Amino acid sequence: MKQKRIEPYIFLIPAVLLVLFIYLVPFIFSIIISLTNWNGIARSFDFVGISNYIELFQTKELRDVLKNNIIYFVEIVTVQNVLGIFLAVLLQEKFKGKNFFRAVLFLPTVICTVAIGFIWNLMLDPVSGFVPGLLSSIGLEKLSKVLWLADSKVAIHTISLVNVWQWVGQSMVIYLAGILSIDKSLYEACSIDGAGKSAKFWKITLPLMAPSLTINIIVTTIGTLKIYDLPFIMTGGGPGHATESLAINVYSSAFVYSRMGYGTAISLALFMFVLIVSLIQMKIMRKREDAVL
Amino acid sequence: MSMMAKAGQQEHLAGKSRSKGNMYAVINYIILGIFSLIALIPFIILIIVSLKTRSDFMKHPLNLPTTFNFQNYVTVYERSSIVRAFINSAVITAGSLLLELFVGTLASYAITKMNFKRAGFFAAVFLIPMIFPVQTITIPVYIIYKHLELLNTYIGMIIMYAAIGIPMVVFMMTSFMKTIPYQISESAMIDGATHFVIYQKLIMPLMKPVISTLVVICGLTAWNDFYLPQIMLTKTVLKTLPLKIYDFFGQYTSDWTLICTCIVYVIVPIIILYCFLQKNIIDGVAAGAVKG
Repeated sequence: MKQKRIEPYIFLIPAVLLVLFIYLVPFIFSIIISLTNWNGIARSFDFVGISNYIELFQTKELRDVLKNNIIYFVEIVTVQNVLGIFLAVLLQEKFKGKNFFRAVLFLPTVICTVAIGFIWNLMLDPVSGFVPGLLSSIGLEKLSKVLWLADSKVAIHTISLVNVWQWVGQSMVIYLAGILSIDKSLYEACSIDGAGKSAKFWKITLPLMAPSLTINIIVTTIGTLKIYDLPFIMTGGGPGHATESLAINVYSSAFVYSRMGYGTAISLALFMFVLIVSLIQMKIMRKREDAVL
Repeated sequence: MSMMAKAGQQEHLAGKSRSKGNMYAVINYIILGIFSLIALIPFIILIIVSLKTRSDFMKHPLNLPTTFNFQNYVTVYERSSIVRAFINSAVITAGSLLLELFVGTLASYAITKMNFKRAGFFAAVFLIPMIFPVQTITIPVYIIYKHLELLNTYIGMIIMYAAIGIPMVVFMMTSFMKTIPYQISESAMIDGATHFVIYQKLIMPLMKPVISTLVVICGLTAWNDFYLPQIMLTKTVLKTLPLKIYDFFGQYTSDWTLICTCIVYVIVPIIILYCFLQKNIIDGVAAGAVKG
């Protein structure tokens, strides 16, 4: 009998150790580090109280970075989800070549972001890029002169778009799964009532794919709040700080400027940011789902 | 007469809606074609540039290559130790998959099949890490790793990715194991089988579809990651593929033909794999997202 009570824990121990070692201990540790001025190398450091947090709220740099994150968040979440739904609706019916289109549109999501970033740097290169070349060959001279990554007003939107280019396939696939799980008889009933395509979309498809909308918005939100690879590769956060995200700021504070204390303080702010946004979203979306069903 | 007129009218209407349907289908194809082209063009350009000589690219960056030039592939192969990077990525990805799947399935078995008091508590414990952005734990883990001398090691990376994957593994595994009827494990218990034997011989074989989904999702995460190797793997011999592209770009900033060749080397294995397993990969990602 006694042996039976211990056994579950033997099965659980390895996984629990892993979580303790990589999440719990480091998390507590990071709260402590954030209260120090440690540079990560020296043997001695001082406790500086909450001065890292005060600095974090007072510097203009961090406000700019936060603003960038909000721009990424708003642009990517809206464009990617609208486009994702649009593509999923186009793919919802059975037709020849459907799997081909689905596979092609999904392809960029399996390629590493470092490769994607450099490919798009080449595509947008003012001298040898395909995009400026295409724009000038179809007569859009003015647009072809835009510095997509070097102009501090444009660069952030460019990166948002490339991010959507890479990940829209994922949203599309999740929406498609949601649409395909809708009961077909509903559409038939709607046809008998004489409803057109758009009525079917607004009255049946959209309300009934609410669960996949929730999933998609949470996935894209958390993804964009943590955005790192793409701006790091494409612009390094520049020009100036024009495309720098919170995650890049954490990296450069801690590992470039060796300010571990300040870096952890920002990373904890990022954590709170992600936590709050996902909790709010979860609540709103669940409520809406309940109202629909 | 009126009946005939009505029939004619109906036929006319049916024909109209059929042609309307065809029109929709054509527009469908056109729009999807345009989007597919947008998705593919960057990859096509990448391959074209990799096949050009440097001077050809400088003079006519946008033209098709006049002759196919494979010299870049030889040059990159000789200069970049890309094979070593491939091995590094493969060892780290495979190692982390083995670790997280073994440890995660054991835990899921305990939570769903062993009927003990705190099962619900542990199910929650494994979900909590999902809310942590990797950036929040990287700095302290980096410091801990430094003291344990786990920086610049395979095992350090393997543990890290396994921990990142664990919440997903436990979440999907427990929800799948719950659907397996109790009687199966119970009758085996009566026959005297231990829990480990039931886990190994009865439950795991039934888990194959979930495992393949998890291999796709967690494998891609580890294989494509740039952030953690950038911080934790600073020795050249240990660098993974994404890091290799980044370093190569730093070395040959002005030579796009070589950089593109390096990228082709890195992404071609994944694209080949994708061509064969495209359906499983897409379904896996969709299933993972829906469960998560």
